[in-house]
Amino acid sequence: MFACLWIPDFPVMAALRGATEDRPHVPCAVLAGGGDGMVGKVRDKLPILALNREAWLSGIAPGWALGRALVRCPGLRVIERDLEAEAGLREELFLLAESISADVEMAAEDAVVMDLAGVRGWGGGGSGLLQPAVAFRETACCQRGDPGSHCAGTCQCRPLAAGCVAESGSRLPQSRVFDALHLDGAEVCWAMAGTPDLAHLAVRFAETQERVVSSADLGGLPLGVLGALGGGGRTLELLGMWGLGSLGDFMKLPRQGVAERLGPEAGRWHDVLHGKVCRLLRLHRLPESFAQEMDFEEPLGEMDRLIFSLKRMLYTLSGRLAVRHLAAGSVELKLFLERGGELVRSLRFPEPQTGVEGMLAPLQTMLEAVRLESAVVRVELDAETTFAMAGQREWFGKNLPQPERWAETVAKLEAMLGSGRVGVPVREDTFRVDAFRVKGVGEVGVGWKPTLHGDCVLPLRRFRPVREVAVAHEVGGGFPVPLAILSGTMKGEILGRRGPFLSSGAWWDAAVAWQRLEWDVELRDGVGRLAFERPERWWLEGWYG
Amino acid sequence: MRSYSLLMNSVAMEELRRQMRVKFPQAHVVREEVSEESGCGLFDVGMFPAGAISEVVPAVKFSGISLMVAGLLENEGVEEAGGYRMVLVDGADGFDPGSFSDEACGRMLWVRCRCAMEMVKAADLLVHDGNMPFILLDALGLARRDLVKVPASAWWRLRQVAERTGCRLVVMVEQPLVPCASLRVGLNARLRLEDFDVEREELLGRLEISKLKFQNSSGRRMG
Repeated sequence: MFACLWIPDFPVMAALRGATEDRPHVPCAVLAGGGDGMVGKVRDKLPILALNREAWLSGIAPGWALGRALVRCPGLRVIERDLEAEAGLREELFLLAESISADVEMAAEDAVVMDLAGVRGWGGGGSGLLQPAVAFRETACCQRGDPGSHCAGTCQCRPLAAGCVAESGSRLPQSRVFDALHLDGAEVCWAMAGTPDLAHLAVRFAETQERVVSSADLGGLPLGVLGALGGGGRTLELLGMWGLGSLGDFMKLPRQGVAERLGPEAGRWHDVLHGKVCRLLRLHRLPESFAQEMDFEEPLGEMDRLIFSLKRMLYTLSGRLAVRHLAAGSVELKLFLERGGELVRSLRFPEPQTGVEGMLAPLQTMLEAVRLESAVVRVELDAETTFAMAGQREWFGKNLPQPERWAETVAKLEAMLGSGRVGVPVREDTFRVDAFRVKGVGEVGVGWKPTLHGDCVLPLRRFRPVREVAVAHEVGGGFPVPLAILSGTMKGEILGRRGPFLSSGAWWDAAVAWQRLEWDVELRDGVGRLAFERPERWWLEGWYG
Repeated sequence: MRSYSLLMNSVAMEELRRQMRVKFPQAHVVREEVSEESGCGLFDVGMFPAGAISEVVPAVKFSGISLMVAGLLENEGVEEAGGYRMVLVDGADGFDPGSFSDEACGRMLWVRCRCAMEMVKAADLLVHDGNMPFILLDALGLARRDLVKVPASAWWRLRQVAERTGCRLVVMVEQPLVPCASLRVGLNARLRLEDFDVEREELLGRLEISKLKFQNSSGRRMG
């Protein structure tokens, strides 16, 4: 048995929850496509995405253009869509469902489907918890003077508060479920069915809400509901032209004939409506956060105290990881300084770490290489988790024999040589001379990608920085032709030369545009590369070999 | 009685030899002789003894050193550790990524140093770490006066740690430098301008390698 929870008019409900003023009693709408900052006719043409209860009662509907809706309901107020509030409300809805069942799917932006198979008391009929409670809900609504008609899209009833049930005088043991089916400022509708798709379809209509539905109960619903199952705009149009008006009409058609004429998608609809398809739920899990923060009353100026505080946080992190059978793949450390500003450092471990020692040693080495401008007032530590055995398992590659030491060694090397001096060289996709960058150890995506360059047959050994040399030359063909190198450690007569090779770049930007000539020259000791740049400067870039 | 005594002596000698082998394993290692022939044997990492320091000296300037690095990077037989085929500790920061394929660059960990002392310290860290089985120390381009300032004890220390971790440490230097090198080979590529028109494989095949000096574990020259 599956149950579906749905919040009608989700965007407008979420936006109104965040509103401080008393808007719920006036007709409100949220526009599709934002509409923020738009004025006049452009805004009037935007369709309405969602309406609140008062706006529904005025007779307008989602999909209407704003201008048309304002004619029908002049008092309609347009409110901005609040995506953050929607995310918050969605998370609350998920938590609400998770309090009932562990297996929950986010079926849509505004709906969750949960599997009740593993929930105690929901076996068999499965409705034992909810059905009696509905009666209480109606009673409570009547006591408050509400109409009591549970229409979904235009539902008149407010969600039942825990207090209302208490007022009714006889709380059922299962009534905690109804307490849970309440979200502050938003109405939650539910329906149950034998398959997740049937429950999802049923929850969106007043006729099938708040009860257990079967395939036969869906017969009266409009045909357009099939759109909720995905795709099929043209097929729905065709079905309308065939004269079908309700799901019941569609369900009466023979399945084989439908599939032959309208394709496999229509056949799948047929199966779903008859309850023949019971798919697995795509279970949703909220991302876990291992973030920790620590504020210091007295700013920390000494590294030892900072390391001590960090160690405490690592113990907490290690404990949390152990409980979940996870390991830390990388950590991110943020240090907030007393004089303002923050220092952010990320450290990726070569192998997932679970112990404090394995994480602390490289962190400590990294911190010792950092020079802080002022004392630390706050520390934040976050970890990216992975499975403990998920690191560096390759079929044909050999793992590091002592991976726990590797991160520390690399951190020491970087501390000694500086950032960007230890890693994998990656050629930049440019013709600029000596253009490359160094990817750090453990940096994601260490792989390579093809670049513009072809490989030179003779590998060059570069001089960094390039050595400026005096060169005797003559002009031939409009280019300077080198004859001998007169200075530097590689001086001598040039016995042979190849070139010139003209290269240039960034011509579109005069400030950084460059142009140069290169010659490969052979001397008595070997072959080198000379570069010429105007005005009259020669460089020995490197030596081949 | 005499034969029993001889037997006892031979048993005692065998036991003594066994203990000596256990106590001084390096003195009993059967060393491979370097082939005098040129060719791709140079790109077999197994040529450089494990747990020891080897030295590669070019005949002129940098002749053949970058080609040797290219051969090691492109040789499929070289084992990898943690995704890296080798660590290049670049003393003078002379490695040119533009001269190598992207794939070859991706197989190497590049440690860019600025001076001889940085190079030796970086090598010390890496050899102590024990994770990388093959480390190339490129001392070419560094001034000789800086290199000779590195105390001999630093090389001995490196060798001792390499013995413990089984690391193959290869020092590439213009003139013989390491007092405790177990293997010293010369390299000559004889490069000319015409070589730009031939394939790199052909150039690698033309590399000439020759045994220069050979030292035993005590550092005494053997030949």
